Amino acid sequence: MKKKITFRPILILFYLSLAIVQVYILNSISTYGGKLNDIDNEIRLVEDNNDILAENIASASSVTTLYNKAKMLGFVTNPPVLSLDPLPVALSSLPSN
Amino acid sequence: MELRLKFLFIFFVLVFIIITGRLFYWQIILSDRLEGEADTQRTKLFQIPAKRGTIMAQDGSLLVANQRAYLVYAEPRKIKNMTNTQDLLADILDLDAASISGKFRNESLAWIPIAHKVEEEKKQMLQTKNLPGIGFEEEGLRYYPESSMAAHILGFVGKDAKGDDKGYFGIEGFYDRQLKGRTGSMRQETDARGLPILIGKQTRIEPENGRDLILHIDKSVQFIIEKKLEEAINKYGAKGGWVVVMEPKTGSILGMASSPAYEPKKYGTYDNSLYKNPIVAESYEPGSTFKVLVMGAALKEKKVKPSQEFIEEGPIEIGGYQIRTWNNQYSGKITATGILEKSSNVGMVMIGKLLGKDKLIQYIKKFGIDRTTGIDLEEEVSADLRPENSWYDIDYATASFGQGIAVTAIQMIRAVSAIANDGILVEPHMVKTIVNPDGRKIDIRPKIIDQVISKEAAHVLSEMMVQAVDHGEARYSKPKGYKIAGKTGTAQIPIAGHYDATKTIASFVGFAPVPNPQFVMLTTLKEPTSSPWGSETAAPLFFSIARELFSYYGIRPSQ
Repeated sequence: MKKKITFRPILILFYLSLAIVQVYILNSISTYGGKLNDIDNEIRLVEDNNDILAENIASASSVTTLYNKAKMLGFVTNPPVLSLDPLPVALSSLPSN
Repeated sequence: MELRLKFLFIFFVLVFIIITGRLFYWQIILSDRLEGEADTQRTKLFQIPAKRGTIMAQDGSLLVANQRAYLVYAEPRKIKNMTNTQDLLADILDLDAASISGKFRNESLAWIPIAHKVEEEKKQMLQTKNLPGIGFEEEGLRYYPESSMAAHILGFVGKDAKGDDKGYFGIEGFYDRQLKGRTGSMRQETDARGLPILIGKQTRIEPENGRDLILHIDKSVQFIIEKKLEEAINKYGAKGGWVVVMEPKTGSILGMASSPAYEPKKYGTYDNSLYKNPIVAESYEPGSTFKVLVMGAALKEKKVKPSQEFIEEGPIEIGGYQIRTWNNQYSGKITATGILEKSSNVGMVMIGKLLGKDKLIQYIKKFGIDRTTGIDLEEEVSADLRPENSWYDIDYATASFGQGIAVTAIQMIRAVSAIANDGILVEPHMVKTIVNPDGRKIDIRPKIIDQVISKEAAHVLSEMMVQAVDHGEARYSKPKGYKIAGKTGTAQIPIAGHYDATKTIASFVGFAPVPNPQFVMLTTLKEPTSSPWGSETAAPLFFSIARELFSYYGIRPSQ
């Protein structure tokens, strides 16, 4: 007489192992909230630093700052404008041969 | 025995009913409340603030940006040492300790706002003190890299009745809805320590950041005109003044400065009378600068030619009033061009008569003097033009030389820009491009309003205005080698039904280079004390700025 193979124990074992895996995974990620919080804080810190740098760049490149620095370095505004057009041409008064 | 069993049965039934009733009460009647309380305990709801849009100059550099700031709040029931806490808060935040103490003693309040818009540095100082019961909520704060530059253009951000940020005046006010964006929120399940549970319920509504704005304003031009205006106010002893520079073909405002102004970051420390931009919100009598508009109308209607001669031998009488020239000198014979050169009121009355009353009013309206220009600044106004049936002969006469009629500076420069733009009136505009949070750009196209005068009339008038500059009272301060079209103006200020004999509004309006002008500019000084005349105050200011603009734009002399 052939032995009948029953799937019931295999299925029970399968479900049990799934349940164990689920519990294991849930337990592992239960503390990830803290890590997520830490990462969020790091991101905020980097964003804050970026904002501060952007502010510093905007201030350093402001027209008033540049004007004062240029003045300190000896640059002048509104230099005299010399127009070279039309150019003065010297004419020869000697008759050509 | 049976009786005891019955009693026991009844007792158990009663207990069962009581327990069931109690369960019904907690689980059915109070279910919503308890569910809400449980939800509050295990979920955290927080706002994700939207970033307010930035405002940039033409070249993309920042005029207004955002800085992180905080609302500092207190939960008095959690504060351990009231006196120490209030003293530290007062010291670091520069507040009155007594007012903080008063707030703390209000036992009915569980949460008190202490200070808004606290900057990062002060927040860090407070955080290092680890004060129990003191917390922080993020808020936006506007930051101005150029300090008080273009204050009247930009406006400022204050609070509305609900305590939310709101833009007032200028660009911040006009484009408030575009700039503010929409706050988002996140509801997240948290554990006992308040840390997020990854597999828990989470609903998130993304914030929609505000749109960024790129203006037509050229920072270099703005810097030049602000600096020159302050110098002129000091030099000529004026109460204030303004300068507007506009691109005549497109209506783009390249620079707009007025004084006295304020610092947008500290707007609360200034008198609120300074908030309005006088260039769009204050009307004045334009004086002789208005003559170019009347002349343009007469040229368009072919009522006058530049070389046409008029007889000017003395004051002219209109409706019982005498109209004189500004210097009481009369030329005898004078051409139409000469009328502009010498800024003759008597000559303009004659031109006005040739034009006719109906046409004068019609062209005043065509030049846009009776309505707002539509510029994208919040506080623009227009002085009312009197109804036509209330105009007397003297009113037509005085209007022809710019008295008895009120304009705003933006109306005046827009009208003159039509002369520089082949007779075409355009809508002035501050914003060039709107940038969506996703990076998509929307360009604001120039808007043509009307062909006010013909191209030929505009060109003829431009040449007459060049003559007015070359041969008029302002000729000595004009930069050599450049063709500049312009007109001086000295208007008396009306006070309580009469004109003040000593106070004037001195102005100069013009454009350059002729032909193909790249800019039109109006300079105005209020009540200059060194000299009341536009030719001696506003005109030199105009030419001083024009010199810088020629150099900046690389415009070569043509004469």
